Formats: sequence, C-alpha cells, structure tokens
Amino acid sequence: MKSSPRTILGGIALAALMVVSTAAIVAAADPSPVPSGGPAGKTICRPQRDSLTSKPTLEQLKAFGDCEIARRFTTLNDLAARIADAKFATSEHKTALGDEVSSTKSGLTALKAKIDAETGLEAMKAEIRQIATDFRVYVLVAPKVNLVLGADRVAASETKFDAIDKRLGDLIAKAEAAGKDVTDARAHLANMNAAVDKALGLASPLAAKLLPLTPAQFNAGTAGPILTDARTKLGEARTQLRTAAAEAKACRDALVKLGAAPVASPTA
Amino acid sequence: MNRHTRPTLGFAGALLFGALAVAACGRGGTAPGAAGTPPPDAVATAQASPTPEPSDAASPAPTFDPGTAIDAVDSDLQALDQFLNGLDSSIAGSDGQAGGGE
Repeated sequence: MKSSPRTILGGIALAALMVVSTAAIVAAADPSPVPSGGPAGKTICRPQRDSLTSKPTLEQLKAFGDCEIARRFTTLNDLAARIADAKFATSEHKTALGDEVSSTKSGLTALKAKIDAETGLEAMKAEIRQIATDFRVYVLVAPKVNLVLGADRVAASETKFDAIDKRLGDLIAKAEAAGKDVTDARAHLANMNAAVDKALGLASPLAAKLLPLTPAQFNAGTAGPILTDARTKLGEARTQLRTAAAEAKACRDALVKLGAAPVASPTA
Repeated sequence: MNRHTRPTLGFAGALLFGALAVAACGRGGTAPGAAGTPPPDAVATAQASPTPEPSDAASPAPTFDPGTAIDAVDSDLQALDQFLNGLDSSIAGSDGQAGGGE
C-alpha cells in the first residue's frame, strides 16, 4: 500500500504535536494508582492532554498548562507538609528543602501568569515545556526532598539504636554477673552496632550531594546519576537498619532464653 | 558549827558522786568503752565486714530475670520499627516516576 505525500505530511504533523505535548509534560499512558500520600496523580491532566488535537487552540493549551501546574502545586504542598513534619530532620536541611519548595512554587506561579496572558501559540507551547524543564518537580525536587529526609531519618535512628544498645548491654552485664553464658547475646548486639555503623556511613554523605542539584543540572544529565546513586545508597542503608533491628531482636530473644536457662557451668 | 559542817559536806559529796555515776551508766547502760556490749561503731564495722558467714556459702547463686527490662526493649523495638517504616516511604517517594515523571 502506498502512502500519499499528504498522508505522510499529516503523519509527521501529528507526530510533531505528540512530541510537543509529551516532551513538554507527561507521558501518562500508565493508569497505575499513585501511592497514597505521594505526588499528585500522573493521569490527572489526561483529559486536557487528550483534548489537544492536531490543531490545539490557545485555550486548550492553557487548560493543559494550568492543570500541569496545579498538580505540581499539590505535590509541592505535600512535600512542604512532609518537611514541616519531619521532626527528625536537621533544621539546616529543613530550611534548605523548604526554601527550594517555596522558590519552585513562586516560579510556577509566575509561569502560570505568563501562560494565562500568552497570545502566541508557539510561545505558549514553549512556556508549557518550561513547566517541566525549568522546575523538574517530579524528577528532581520530589526525589531530593525524599532522599534528604530519608538520609536524616537514618541519622536520627542512631539515637534510637543507642538506647536499645544501652538496655541490652545492661541486661547482658546482669546475665553475665548471674553466671549465664552471654556469648550469643553479645554477638547479636555487636552485629546490631556494626549494621548501624554501615547505614550511617552510607547515608551521611547524601544530603551534601543532593541539596545543590538544580533543574539545569538535571537537564544536562549530571543530576540524574547522583539521584540514582543516592537512592541506591539509601536503600542499602535501609537494609542495614532492618538487619540491625533484627539483630537487636535476636539479642533480646537470647537474653529471654537465658532468663529461663540454668546457670552455665564455670569454665576452667 | 564548824565541827558539824564537815561531816555534812562529806555526805553530800558522796551523794553527788553516786548520782553522777548513775547518770553516766543510764545512757547506754554501760559507760562507753566499758567491758560488755561493744560500742555502736564496732557493731557497724562488724555488719559491713566482707567475711562470709558460714551460712552464706549455702545461699542460692544470683538469678537473672530479664523481667520488665525486656518490656522496655520490646517497646523500643516497636518504636524503631515504626520509625524505619518512614524510611520506606521516603525511598518510594524518591522515585522520579512516582508522580508521573516529566
């Protein structure tokens, strides 16, 4: 079957339009549910996007742009609330993250005013692209906030593990004074502390690497690998902390067992 | 007059000495340092003495009962678990595609 030149041109035009709309904002083909408490839904602006026909009007583009800005505002407000609620985070990090969220909202507010007042079709398309490229709410700001708060949470867990270490250490000392064999309990407690140290080592450098990242760095391809690496490190830190918690539990169980066991025979 | 005064003073002196002696003995029943009941310091020293009494050797060995201390550990572990759940949420939220990507 042969395609006429008109058909080919039409196809190219349609493809170009799709590139404009998707590159500018979201490829929202996946209707999977958004995790509760997470960012605004990815499909929330789908009706506006679908209305962009081969020749979208200024009004249709504006509706699409406003929707994309509004859903970013929902996300940013959620992030601001999470930052404010993060009692475990350092005040320095909370301030830095809060400032970034605020400046992003200010920038989007200014862009929305520009879009709402725009009269040129091509200029409007360019401004809609800026919603994503100038702010990078979903691929930079949200991950940055979550990763820095996550790293601070790992750091804050040290105090909690210290308290557990003290309690279990005291119990081990008492058991030993009563003539019990505390080898097992002591080994689990050492494993707990080693895992906590590993987690702290993984998480502690992350904030300094993440906080300076900008949308421009993301667009240049330099921020993405840092974010990916930080996410991997935080995941490893989480694994270490879960291991530490399991070792604390094993130590606790060993002590309970000693409470019921007879006194160990003295060694020569 | 003087002749009668001398025996009277001697009798009064004897009475005074006797009264002082009774008062001194009345405090503890025995004058401090006197033979008989040991002074309080000596009693305290004897009680603090590490020298085991024969009956101590037969008493049971110290026992280990984790008791309420384990309850406190359990409470700490539970709080820790909830705290670490927040880390799961942070990691999930750090996925750039979680909010739809850009």
